[in-house]
Formats: sequence, structure tokens, C-alpha cells
Amino acid sequence: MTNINFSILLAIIGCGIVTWLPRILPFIFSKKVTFSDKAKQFMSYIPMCILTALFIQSLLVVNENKMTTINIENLLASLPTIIVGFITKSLMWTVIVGVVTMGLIRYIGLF
Amino acid sequence: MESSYSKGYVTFKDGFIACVPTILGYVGIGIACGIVGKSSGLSILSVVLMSVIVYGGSSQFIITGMLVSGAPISAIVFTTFLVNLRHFLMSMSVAEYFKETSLLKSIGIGTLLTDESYGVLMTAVLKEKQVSFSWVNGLNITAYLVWILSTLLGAILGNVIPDPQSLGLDYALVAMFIGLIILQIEYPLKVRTKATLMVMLSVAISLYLLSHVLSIELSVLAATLIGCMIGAMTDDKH
Repeated sequence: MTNINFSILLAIIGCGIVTWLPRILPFIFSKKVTFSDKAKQFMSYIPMCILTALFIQSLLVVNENKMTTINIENLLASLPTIIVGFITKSLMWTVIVGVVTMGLIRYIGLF
Repeated sequence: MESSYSKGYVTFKDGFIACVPTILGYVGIGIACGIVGKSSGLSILSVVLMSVIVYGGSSQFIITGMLVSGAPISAIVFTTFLVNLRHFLMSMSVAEYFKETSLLKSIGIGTLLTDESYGVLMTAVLKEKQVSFSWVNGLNITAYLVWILSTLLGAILGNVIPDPQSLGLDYALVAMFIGLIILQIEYPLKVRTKATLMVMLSVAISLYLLSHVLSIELSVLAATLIGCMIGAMTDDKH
């Protein structure tokens, strides 16, 4: 229960480093360089775009040598989640409604 | 020095109080993250260690998922890097604000930066408050400890709850992405409705198309860059 696999430990440490660097590097840079407006403008779209890409990824089912298909279960659960997210603007309520909706979909056995 | 800070933004305790509204969010996602980790076959120690070292909700869900699917460590680390690139931007705007703070203290602030603590901090900055280093620490360290304890609690619960999938808990990550996207686009969607929708649609379409030729992780990166390019290009017209 409390054991840890070496490769898991390695993955955690590696991920820790690449999570830490983006968090602290700007503080080091900011004392030395300033980014051009063009670069700042391009980078300002990264959060929106990467989160959208990660969300869409969860809706896709990649099939080897076949067309990529849609994960209908996730798509269906996303609809009330998006609506509640826009109404509440709360991360917590969005997560709760999403999880409950997915639980219901699986309980009913829709798919 | 102390007197130049705004009232309510001085002490560690002030920072703790500022963190309180976000605590429930950390607890909810942290418990889900712990349960998913434990039920995916990770030990309680692995789950907690991940919270201590990685400290990122979405990354921890992804790392867990990829570990279970047997992905190579290089792919896990690279994906985590991509997922957390957004912190680079957040830190950049925070760094502007703490330009006068010493490098070591700045690194301390950046190390514990999260989406939520960034939100609280930037709200204070928006209100033109002068915040102290102790205040930021109160905010950040409270969040850090709450996160670690929540995932620990989830990992312990993971033994009691037999199948978190039947409860839909695995969907917590997708739901969090939806929540984070909404918080990100809320303002741009009001000011530049068409352009924002076009950027998001271009990401979705390019991701779908690219998934046929590239690995899904690379497709996510390429689709993101395409979206940023289209965003920056349409921004020029305004």
C-alpha cells in the first residue's frame, strides 16, 4: 500500500521538474529580459488553446488506421457541465455537475 | 516597508483568509484525484508524493491516466510539460508585479502558483492592492497543504469506494477543463465573440484532423500552436 515503483517515482520527479520550471522561469527572466508585444500576444492564446485542445482530446477516440471517432458518453456529459459552468462560473460546481451527470449516464446504462 | 502594504494584504493570516473561498475547490478535485489515483492502482504514497512534487490538478489526472495505460515516461513528462505551459504565462504576469522582490522569494512565489491562487492574487492586483510576501505565502501555502491532504483523503477513500468509474469520478478532469476554459474565455468571448469562437473551433478541427497523422499528444501541441497563430493574426485586425 505504501510501496512505490521506481519508474513511477521517476515519472513523478520528471513531471515535478517540468511543472516547476514554467512556474519559476518567468521570475528569473523578468529580472533580465522583456518579451516583445508580438510574442506576448501569441502566448496570451496558449491557455485558451491548450485547454480547448485537452477538452476536445477527451471527446475523441483515436482508432489505429481508421477515422477518429467521437466519445458520445463524454460528449453527452459535457453538455450540462458546460451550461452549469457558464451559469455558476465556479470550478467546483462545474466539476460536481460533470461527475454527477457522468455517474447518472453510467447508472442508467445509456451506452 | 510593512506600512506600505494595503490593509488586509499584510500578514500570513490575511493570505490564509484570502485562500478560503478556493479551499472547497481544491478539496473536491483533490479527493477525486486521490480516488482516481488509488483506484488506478497507485499506492497512497505515490498519490501523496505526486501532490507534493508535481502539485497540479490536471497534470496529476493525466499522469495517473498515462501511468495506467503504460505510456513511456518521456511521453508522460512531455505531456505534463505541455499541460503546465500555461503556468509560464501566469508567472510572467505575476513576475511583472514582483519585479522588486528578491529572486529567491520570487521563486518561492512561483513554485506554489496554481490556477486558483493566481486568480486570487490577480484579483488583488486588479483592485490595486499592495500585497506582501507573507500574504502571498499565506495564500499559497494554505492551498498547497489543503491539496496534499485532500488527495491523501481521496487515496484513503479509494479503498472504500470500489469503482469510481461507476460514480463518474474519472470525468472530474474533463469537467475541470470545461470549467477552466470557461474562466479563460469569459472575458474574450464578450469582447471578441467571433474571433474567440474561431480560435477555439480551429483548435478543435485541427486536433481532429491531426489525430489521424500524429500521436494525440503532438496533435494537442500542434493544434494549440495553430490556435495561437490564428488568434494572434486576427488580433492584428483590431
